[in-house]
Amino acid sequence: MISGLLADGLADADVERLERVWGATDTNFVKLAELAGLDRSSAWRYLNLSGTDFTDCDLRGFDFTGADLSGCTGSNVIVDATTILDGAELDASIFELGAAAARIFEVHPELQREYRRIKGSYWTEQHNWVCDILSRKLAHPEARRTLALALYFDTKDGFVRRTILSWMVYRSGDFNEALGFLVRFLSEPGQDDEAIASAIIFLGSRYRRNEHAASLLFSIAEDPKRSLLIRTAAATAVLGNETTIRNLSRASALARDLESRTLDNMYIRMIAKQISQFHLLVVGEGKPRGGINFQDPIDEPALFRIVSGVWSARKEDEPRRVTTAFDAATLAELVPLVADCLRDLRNRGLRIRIEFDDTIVEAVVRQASPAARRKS
Amino acid sequence: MEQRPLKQGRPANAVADLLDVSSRLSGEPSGDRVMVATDVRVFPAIIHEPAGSLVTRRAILKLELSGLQISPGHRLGDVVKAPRTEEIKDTETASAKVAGSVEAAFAAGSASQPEVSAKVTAEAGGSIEKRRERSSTAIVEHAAVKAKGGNLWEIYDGGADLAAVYIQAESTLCHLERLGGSNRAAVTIEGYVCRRDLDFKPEKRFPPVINKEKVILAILASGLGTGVPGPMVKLSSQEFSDD
Repeated sequence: MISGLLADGLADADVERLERVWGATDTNFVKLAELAGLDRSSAWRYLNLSGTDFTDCDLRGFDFTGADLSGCTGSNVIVDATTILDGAELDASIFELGAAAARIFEVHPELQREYRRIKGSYWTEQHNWVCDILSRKLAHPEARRTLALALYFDTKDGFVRRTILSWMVYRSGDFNEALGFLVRFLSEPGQDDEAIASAIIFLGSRYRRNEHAASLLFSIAEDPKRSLLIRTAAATAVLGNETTIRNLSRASALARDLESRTLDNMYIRMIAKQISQFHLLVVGEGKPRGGINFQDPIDEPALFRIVSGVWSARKEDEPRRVTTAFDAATLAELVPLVADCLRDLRNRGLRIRIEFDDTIVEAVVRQASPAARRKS
Repeated sequence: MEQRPLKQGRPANAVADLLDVSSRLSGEPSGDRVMVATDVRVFPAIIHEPAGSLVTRRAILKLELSGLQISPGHRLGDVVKAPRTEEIKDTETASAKVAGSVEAAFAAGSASQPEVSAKVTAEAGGSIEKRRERSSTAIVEHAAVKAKGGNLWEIYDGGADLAAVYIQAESTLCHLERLGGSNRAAVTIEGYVCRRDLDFKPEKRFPPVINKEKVILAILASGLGTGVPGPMVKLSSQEFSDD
């Protein structure tokens, strides 16, 4: 029994155990528990274990009576009747899915056989099974969908997991459900960043008119603890959200912090879209070319490139929309229109680096004239 | 019969930096009425390796009484539900509708005496709509200390980690009165934390190592009590008796 202050009351053996666990390189829950010499049948009762990752853990014999296991994740987790979950909080945890799956197996034993077979099969078969469940009208659709979600935690294959995830985000239709799934995914330790980034993009595009989604995406993009890949994905999604225009200063800070030309351009496009179709076209230069950003100067070659980009967008990208956006019969006629448009954006407060004056605009007009182009 | 005064016992706080409960009794010379004054401090308990703290979101104070009872109405943290002010506004709108039609038909019975039939229908209707609007106001105070049944007090600050002095001796915890006919009077004041509300918070939270945090929590929690752990761990006890 500890007496007095916690730190002073710790026995040498306890201190050693604490140091051993903290310094361990393996974060497998069971291995850490064994390293700490903790008894499976008593040490975990009534504890707050929310969010624990039980990946690759054999939890047979663990007594989690009254424990808070909400949000616990993990794949390849072994649980049986000796795993005691009496009175435990299981919200949004693998145990909740496990319990739901167990109820399904009681009613439909044939699904238990099917699930066992799929769980142990090669990823291509798992993937086909998931696609069949999600797209075709098979018997017991609700039960099968629950099993498909359970497979998310039981499979190790990223592609299968992404398929399940994309279905969650795209098809469930319930924003809160999709959000809950993403938050759980984000909090799952050891999850690969690419899968998270793609989930964020899915969520962002599915809920691009939803302000709550924008709020969540902002918080992910602004979190310095997240990897650059995840932050950039969240920023991309938030800048594509239609409600972000109400939060310009935050969006601008985000684009600046992440120092990405793509994000710069998304921000600039968001502003340009509010002004006119032509502005949007100019800053996008015809989307495939990347568009203008806050970092690269717009000098003579850049201006020419932008004008050419807009001109070819007329033919290549969206002919009907582009031809109604500006009134210029030749490339040379388009040059002053583009130059004025860029100046207008700068005058409205966008800090784009315009490094051309009237002389340069005239030079670009000459460059764009049919004679000069024939010569080149 | 003259009452023997209650002797003050020393508080025993197992982890004083996490939960420190210290009480004293004072009362009238006759000893019929006793006031319990208690200090309750709940703060994160710091450990150095790994650097972090053991925190709790809830603490429980319990009085075990023998030959005594808490005087009704003298209990700190009694949450009395305030009467709700409710305003009910009735709005009535009435409308009436009358519609009628006459249909006449001539059927040719014979050329000389045509049959005539007529049907008159009339509809009349009226309606009264009654709408009731109700608004109510209730003032709810969110106190961190709440007196509960069974001589218990719960300290809970909306789920936040507790880090303050929650009860001070100046505000009396409760008044006790002797039960007639008892030949012994004793009070034990106990302080508990709920295992499920304990958490280990490392100083460095990056990179996240949730599994390590939970195992560290289990090591620390196992040091707080003996035997098979139940939902609560007793960390503090102080006894007063007239023995």
